[in-house]
Amino acid sequence: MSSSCNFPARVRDSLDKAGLSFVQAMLMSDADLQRKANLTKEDMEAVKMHCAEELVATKFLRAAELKYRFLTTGCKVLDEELGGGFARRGITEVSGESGAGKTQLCLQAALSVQLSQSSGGAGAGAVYICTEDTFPSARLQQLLHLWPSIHAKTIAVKFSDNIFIEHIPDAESLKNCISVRLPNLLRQRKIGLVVVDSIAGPFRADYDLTQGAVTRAQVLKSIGQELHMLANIHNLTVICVNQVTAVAGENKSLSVPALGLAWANLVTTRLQLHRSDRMLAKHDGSKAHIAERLLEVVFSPYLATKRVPFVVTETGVQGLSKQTI
Amino acid sequence: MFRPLCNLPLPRLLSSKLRELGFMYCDDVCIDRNGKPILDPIAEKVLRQWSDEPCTYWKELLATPATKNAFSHLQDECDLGRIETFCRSLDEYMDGGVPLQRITEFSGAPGSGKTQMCLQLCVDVQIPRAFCGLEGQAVFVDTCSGFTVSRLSEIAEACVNHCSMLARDGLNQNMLQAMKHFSKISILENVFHVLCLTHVDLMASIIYLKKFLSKHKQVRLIVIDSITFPLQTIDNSLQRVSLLYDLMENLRTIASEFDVAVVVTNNLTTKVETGKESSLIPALGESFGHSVNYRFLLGRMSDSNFVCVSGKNLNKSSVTVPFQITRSGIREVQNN
Repeated sequence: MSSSCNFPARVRDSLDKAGLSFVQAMLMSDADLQRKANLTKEDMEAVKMHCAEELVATKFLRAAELKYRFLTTGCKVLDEELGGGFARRGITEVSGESGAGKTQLCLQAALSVQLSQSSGGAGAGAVYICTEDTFPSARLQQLLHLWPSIHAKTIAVKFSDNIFIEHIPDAESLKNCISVRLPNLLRQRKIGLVVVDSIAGPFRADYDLTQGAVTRAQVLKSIGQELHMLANIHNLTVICVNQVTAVAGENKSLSVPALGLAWANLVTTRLQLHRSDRMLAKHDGSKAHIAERLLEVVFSPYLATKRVPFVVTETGVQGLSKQTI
Repeated sequence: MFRPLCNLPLPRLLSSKLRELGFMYCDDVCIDRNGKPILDPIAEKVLRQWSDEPCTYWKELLATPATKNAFSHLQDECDLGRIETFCRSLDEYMDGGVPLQRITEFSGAPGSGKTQMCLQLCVDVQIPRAFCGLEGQAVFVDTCSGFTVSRLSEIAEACVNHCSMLARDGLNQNMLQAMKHFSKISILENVFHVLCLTHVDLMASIIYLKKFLSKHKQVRLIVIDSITFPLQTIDNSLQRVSLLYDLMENLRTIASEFDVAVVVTNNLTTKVETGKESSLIPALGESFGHSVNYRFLLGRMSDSNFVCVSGKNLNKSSVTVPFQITRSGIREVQNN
């Protein structure tokens, strides 16, 4: 503690004798603290206030001073519908049935994060954690091949060098990766995006349903909290891909994101991708048709619920504005 | 006067020490000699462990507590400031809005409108006195990254437009004058944001609030969104309960001492009982319910339709109030 020198020696000695740091003293109740460190109530109040002030006084900011930026999704239409792109705080969840386009969206984000700030990127690298299938490097190469031509303003950046890929087999290694290895990497490299594809993978197989639900919730909570903390400290976009489970609805079965309420409470913005039955004609003159998909904003602290149609082409995920439909 | 020591609100440590040393009555500890209170030296040594000023402390202990009759309590309650939510039915149910000097809890599943309610209150607390508002400031303690300036801006702009319209229609000089200082920018200036990612930060913020509020006397609302988030990783449930108890104790003192409304949001958790179907209940347990004054459960019915179910309310029976969340914020449901 930097300015603990203005405390009389007896206070610091009492705390040292009790083996308590200032922070520990602040968290204890007055009765416990008195019992352990033998301080008067005026001293205890002063210690707690001093510690509190050191920790948070500078964090009280006026809302007008806050600047929240967004990470571009790589598509202008989607950016506009999402209020600027992906948030650079909290956890954004992208769920959907298999083949809905979740990985496509994440790959696109892993490229757009490397664009400069002025182009909507973060001028930083990406960490891509795979827990199910191997990283789709073929698709990444395909996108890389077509990207520079789309984003003419980008400077020569070696896009593939800036994506750090991890393959994680189970929940324990995921927890270790997020709480130990990831913070280390973040301290050494400039990273703007962390993708976990998917967060559901390690948790659905590992734990047996009856007894494991509580432990599963605990591990999920610690991973979620760690991701939130890293996102806020390093200004990251965190995207967690999730699977869906079928739930019996009124007329039809609905698909809801997996992992239940314990995980949902950790999610800041929930996006769900759907495959619809609509086929759209491609505009490149060929007779081919392309499947229309929907990006649904399920909940978000700053977006109203909406459904945005999009398609997945060779060049990536493209939102459809009202004119193109 | 043989008033026994056990009659006094002494901390357990002091009372047991004094009892061990043979002190049974107040007169044993302190005698009035010619109108001057003199403390027994041994007793004084014990008291000095707790307070640097044993004489003043002893006087405080013996002082008769201030009393108030029920009518003054009723008057105070009626005079209590309230922050409107902009949903008329909800405000009516709450006798005007979220009350000052009390702790109100909003719990609900993700996406049920808790953060939106908090943002709306941060704007509404600033409504100028000319419009019967409190003209106060707000502190938003953000533990789950739900606070967004863009959304606060939208709600602020809608509120300013609403008030401008009232001022123009009423041609009220006070209102028109007040509008000169009430704008989207002024609203953003008057909301203080604190990011607390851990329970340590949260405890520190609540302790520091006492100093902050003495410097910023215009603050009338403290929002904690959410109080559950930083506590969920504390595995030791005893530590979690004890920390939560201390947090709430501090918030209670802050609410009454600084005349502010405290609003906390809470998550839902699944209650599993053998033999019964699992149900969703507010997290943090039964004891948390006792430390707040009013409890509301929010739920989403469809895209923009929500309901607010009142839980704990000493004065009224439970109701279900529907409300909407539009681009402008929390609003009454429009009947067609």
